[in-house]
Amino acid sequence: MKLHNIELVNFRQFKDRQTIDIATDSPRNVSVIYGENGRGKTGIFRALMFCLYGDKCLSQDELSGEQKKEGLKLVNEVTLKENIGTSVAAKVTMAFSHQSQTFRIVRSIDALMKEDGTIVQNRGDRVELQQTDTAGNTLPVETEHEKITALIQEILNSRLRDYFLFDGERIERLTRNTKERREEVRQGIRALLDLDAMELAIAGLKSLTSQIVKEISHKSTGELQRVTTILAELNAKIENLENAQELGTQELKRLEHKINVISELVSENEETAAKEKKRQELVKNCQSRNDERDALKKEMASSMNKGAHLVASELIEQLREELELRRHKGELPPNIRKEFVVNLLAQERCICGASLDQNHQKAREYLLEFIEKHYTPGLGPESLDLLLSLNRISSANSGLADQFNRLLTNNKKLRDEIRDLESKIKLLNDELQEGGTSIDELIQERKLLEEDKRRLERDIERHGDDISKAQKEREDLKKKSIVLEKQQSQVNSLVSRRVLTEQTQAELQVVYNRFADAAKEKLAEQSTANFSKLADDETQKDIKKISIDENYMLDVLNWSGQRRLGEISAGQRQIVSLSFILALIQVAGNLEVPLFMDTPFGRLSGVHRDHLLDSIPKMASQWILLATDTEFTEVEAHALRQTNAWGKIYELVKEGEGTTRIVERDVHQFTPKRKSIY
Amino acid sequence: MLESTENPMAYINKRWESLYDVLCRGDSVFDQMTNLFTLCATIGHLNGEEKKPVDKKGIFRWSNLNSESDVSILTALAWDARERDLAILADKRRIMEIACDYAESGMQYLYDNFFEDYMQDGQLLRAEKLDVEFNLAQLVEGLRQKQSIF
Repeated sequence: MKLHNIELVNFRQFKDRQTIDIATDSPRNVSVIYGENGRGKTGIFRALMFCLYGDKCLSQDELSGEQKKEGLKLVNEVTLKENIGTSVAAKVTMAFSHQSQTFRIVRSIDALMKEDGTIVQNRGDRVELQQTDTAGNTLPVETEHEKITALIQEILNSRLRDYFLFDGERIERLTRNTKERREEVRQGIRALLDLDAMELAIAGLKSLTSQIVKEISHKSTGELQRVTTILAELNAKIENLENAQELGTQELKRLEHKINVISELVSENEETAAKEKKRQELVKNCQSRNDERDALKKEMASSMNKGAHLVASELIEQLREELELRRHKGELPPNIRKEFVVNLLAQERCICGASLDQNHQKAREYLLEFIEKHYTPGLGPESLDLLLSLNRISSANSGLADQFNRLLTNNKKLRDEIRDLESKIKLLNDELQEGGTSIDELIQERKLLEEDKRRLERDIERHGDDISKAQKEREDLKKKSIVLEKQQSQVNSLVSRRVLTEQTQAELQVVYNRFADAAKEKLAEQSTANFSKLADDETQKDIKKISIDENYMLDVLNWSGQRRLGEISAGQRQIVSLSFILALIQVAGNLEVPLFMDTPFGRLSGVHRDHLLDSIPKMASQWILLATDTEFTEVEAHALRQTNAWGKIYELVKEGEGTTRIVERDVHQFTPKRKSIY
Repeated sequence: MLESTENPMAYINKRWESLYDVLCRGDSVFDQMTNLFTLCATIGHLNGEEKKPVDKKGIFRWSNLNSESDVSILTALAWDARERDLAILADKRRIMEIACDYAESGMQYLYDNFFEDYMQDGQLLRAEKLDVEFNLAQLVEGLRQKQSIF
C-alpha cells in the first residue's frame, strides 16, 4: 500500500477542506508533518484510522467501553457552531495505490450541535471505496461497509495498524515483557507472515475434527451391533420355523395321503363296511353290558360288606331266639335289678317287708335262687342291645339274601350276554381280518391320523403366525439396520475423515511450527541487523543480538548471550522496537506499507535520531513523521535533508480556537523553529 | 403284655396282610377291614375250624368294629363256639380271640378256594380283573346255602 494523499473536511480541528499530499516517489519518500503540541498531529493520525477502519478513537485514548463505542467527536466544532441545528459531516478521503491499482476511500460521519452546545454525533458513518482507472476516472467500487472493511483488511490488515501507524511512545512498549505485548508481537508476526492463515486452518481442522468426533459419537451408539445380533437370532429363528413348517407340511401331506388311502380301503368294500358296522354295534352293546356289569359290581361290593350276615344267618337266628326266650322269661334284662335284691339279702328283709332272718330261711333261699337264675353273666343290659341288633340283622337278612341272589343272577345273565357278544365280535373280527388289515384298526388308525393331522395343522398355523411375526420384526429391524448401516458407513467415512483431518492438522502444525520458528529466527536476525544500523556505538556494545523467544517475547542479548532487556533505556527500547518493525516489513518481502510515526524521536538520543533519519527511508517504502518542534529541530531537518529522502513538509498552524490549518512548506526552505534541543 | 379286656386287638396272619390291603383299600370290595374280618370269621365258623394265627399282626381294635353288625355276628360266633354259654357275651377279649381264630381259618378257606390261583409272591394279581365281588358273593351264597343244609 502506498499512501498518496489525505483530504480532510471539517475533521476534528481541520476546518473546511484541507489536503496533505504524501511523498511517494523513492528516494523522496519521507513526509514530515510538523507542529507544536495541540496543533493536531495526532488528528492526522486519527483521520487516517477513521478513513481506513472507521475508528472513532485510538487505543491511546484510553476510553471506557461505552465511550469507545461512542467514540470521540470527529466533526469540527467551529463548523458545528456555525451551523447550529444543522447536520455537518466530517469527511476524510484517502488516496492510495496497492498492487498497481489506485483507490480512494471516502468516509464521513455526521454530527449536529444543538442550541445548548451539545453535540450529537451519528453512530454510523458512510463509506465508499472508489477506484481510479488509468485515464484518471474515479468509479465507486463498493459502498457496503462489510465489503469495504474486508477489502481494506486484505490490503492492510487492521492488526498491523499499530506497527506501521504508530506513535513513538507506544512503540517502546513492544519490548515490555507482558502478556499483552507478547501477544502483540505474536499477532504482528502472525498477521504479517500470514501465519494466522495457517493457524486458522489448524483451528479449522481442529474444529472439524471435533465436529466429526461429535458426529461419530452421535452416530456410533452400538445399536447396529445390537440390531445385527437380534437380526441374526431372528434369521435363525425364522429358518428353524420354516424348516419345521416345511417338515410339518411334508408330514401333513403324508398324513393326508395315508388318510385318503385308509378311507379308500374302508369304503372300497361295502360288505366289509357292513360287517364293520355290525361289529361296531356289537362292540357298543358289549361295552354297554360291561358298563351295566360294572355298576352291578359296585352294588355287589356294597352288599359284600354284609356278606357275613348271610354266612352267619342261621347262627344269628339261633342266638336271637335264645335271647328272645330269655327275655320272654324275664331274664333279659331282669325285671328287678340285681343290686336291689342283693341289698335285700344284706338287710335280711323281703320286698314285702317280712324278715329274712334265720326264721325265714326258705324265703332267703328263694331269693338266692332267684339271683342265680336271673342274673346269668352275659344277660346284662348289653345283651338286650345285642338282641335288638340281632333282630334288625335277622329282618334285613332275607332282603339281603334276595339282593345277593338278584345280583348274582343278573351278573350271570350279563356275563353270558357279554360272552356271547364277545364271541360274535371275535367272529366278525376274524372275518374282517381275513381281508387283511382290520377295518376297525384302519378306522382307528385313520382316527389317530386325523388327530395327528389336526395337531399338525395347528402347529403349522402357529408356526406360520410365528414366522409372519418374526418376518415382520425382521423387516422392521432390517429397515432400522439399513439406517444404522448408513450411519455406520457414515461413521466409517467420518472416522476416515477424522483421521485425515487429524493428520492434516498435525502436519500443518509441524509446518506452522517450523515456519513460525524460521520466521522468528529470521525476524530476530533481521531485527539485529536493523538494530546495528539504528543503534549508537555504545548501545551496540551492550546489545549484540535481538531475540524472539518461543513465547514471542522480544529480548536483547548481551555479548555473552545474557538477556538484558530489563536493563536498557526507554530510547534503546524504542530502537529495538523499530528494528523489529522494520524487520517485519523486510521479512514479509519488503512490504509496501507506509510507516506512520507520531512523535518518533521523543526518547531518542541525537545519534539515534541521525541513524533513524538515515536508515528508515531506505528500509520503509514511505515514512510519515508527525513531529513536534522539539523533536524536529534544525539538526533533524538537516540530517533528513542530507538523506535526500525528504519529499514533503507540512506545518500545522493554529488559525483560531479549535482550528488548524495545514500549510505545505518547501522542504528545501523549511526551517524548524528550534535549532536543537541539545 | 396283657391284652386289653375292654378294647382287644384283632390279629391276622401276616400272610394275609396284602390280601386285606388289596380288598379293603379305596374303592375296592370292602369298605372296612372289619367287614372282611367278620366275613372270614363267619366262613371259618361255618367250616367249624378255629385256627390260631401265627406270625400275627394287629389290624384293628374292638372299638373299630361296627357296634351292631360286626359285634353281633362275632358275639354269636363266640357263643356258638363255647357251647352256647351266654356268659361269653360279656367277654370281649374272648369273643375277639375266637373271632381271630375263625377269621384265620376263613381266610385260609378263601385262599384255598379262590385267591390261591391269582397270587404270586404273596400279592394278588390284577385284582380289578378278577371279579372278586361276584366270586366272593358266589362263595358266600354257597356257604349260606350250605349252612341251611345243616
